Amino acid sequence: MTQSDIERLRALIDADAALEAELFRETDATEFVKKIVRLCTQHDLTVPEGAVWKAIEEGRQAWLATWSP
Amino acid sequence: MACDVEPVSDFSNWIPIRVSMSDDGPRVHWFRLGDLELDDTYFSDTVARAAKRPLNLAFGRETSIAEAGAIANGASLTPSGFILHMSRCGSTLVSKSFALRADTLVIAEPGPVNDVLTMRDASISNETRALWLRWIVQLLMRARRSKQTYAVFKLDAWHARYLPVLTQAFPAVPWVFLHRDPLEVLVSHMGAASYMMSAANAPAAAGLEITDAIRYPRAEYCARVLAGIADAIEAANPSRSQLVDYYELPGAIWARIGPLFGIESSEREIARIRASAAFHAKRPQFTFEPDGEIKRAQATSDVRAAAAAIEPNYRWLRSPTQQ
Repeated sequence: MTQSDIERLRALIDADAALEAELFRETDATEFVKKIVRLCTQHDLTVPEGAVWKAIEEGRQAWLATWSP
Repeated sequence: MACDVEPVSDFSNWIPIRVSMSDDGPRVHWFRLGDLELDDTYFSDTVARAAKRPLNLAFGRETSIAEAGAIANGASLTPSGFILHMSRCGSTLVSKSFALRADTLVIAEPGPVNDVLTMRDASISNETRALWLRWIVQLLMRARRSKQTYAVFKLDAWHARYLPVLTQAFPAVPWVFLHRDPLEVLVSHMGAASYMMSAANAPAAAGLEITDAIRYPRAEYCARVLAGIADAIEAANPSRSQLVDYYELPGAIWARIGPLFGIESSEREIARIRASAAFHAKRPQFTFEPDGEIKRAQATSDVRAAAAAIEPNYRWLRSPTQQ
């Protein structure tokens, strides 16, 4: 997933409140990744599944870094 | 001072979870809160729930502090009151008691507030820090439900050291300071380690570098942190009504703190607080047992010596001559 693909994907989600709400409700990471990949396919974005998992993991690490022990 | 940056995107369902410093200035990190409510004992617990949503991990948002200010613009929300405390002195009981009310939003120890108050950059003036603090507090308060007309913030214990910024940001908002016999507080800290008393938090909690903090014996270091907090309260010259002793709880919640915050309690609400106070605030699966005597009996000689150094502070806090 290129940086521009990420930004286009983010813009896509930011611009669609219903889509964002639907993605937010998804608590299962596997299902979330499938939805993102489907979304990308629909909008002609090249996004490998692994790239979405990587984004989730990076987000998790960034959040954990804020955690006070 | 207004913010002249245009708001970006729709942030109505998002809250700031952290403020970090970058080469370009402070950055605000956001999670979507959606249908999640700020109803956990601590703010970080709610953030942890929000972190279970993959959307927040993969597509959490980030803005500049100026953009956050633009998003906060127009919000004229003011907290009802701030709870400051010495730590291990009943502050969680107080915040949870207010959280029992459907009309009150309680935000306990919000990380973004700590980030703004303790951000280490000498070039940031108190005025600027106060402005950022107002934005962050107002952004957090947007998580209120429609029936919540009050908002109470319980801050971290060391935030007493930042009272000049807090009162500059919110000069009309009342605050209280909860305190307890420092010997009992110290024994509690010696028995259960916390981030507050860790060397990692020394710059914020004690104004010390980590490398200096670790040179102190543990009890002495903890006493130094508590003394710094008490000194800061004394410097703020609070009225007697703002100082609440642990042993005045829970009655002081509805008799003193609530009225100071403009929050009156009905007999029914008082009964709910009393019922809740029968259980341990942080471990509600256990009934609350007074432990002051036990703690004093557990104090070792080094802890007693450390506590003696804070005794003048404690006497001042309890002084009936305070107006």
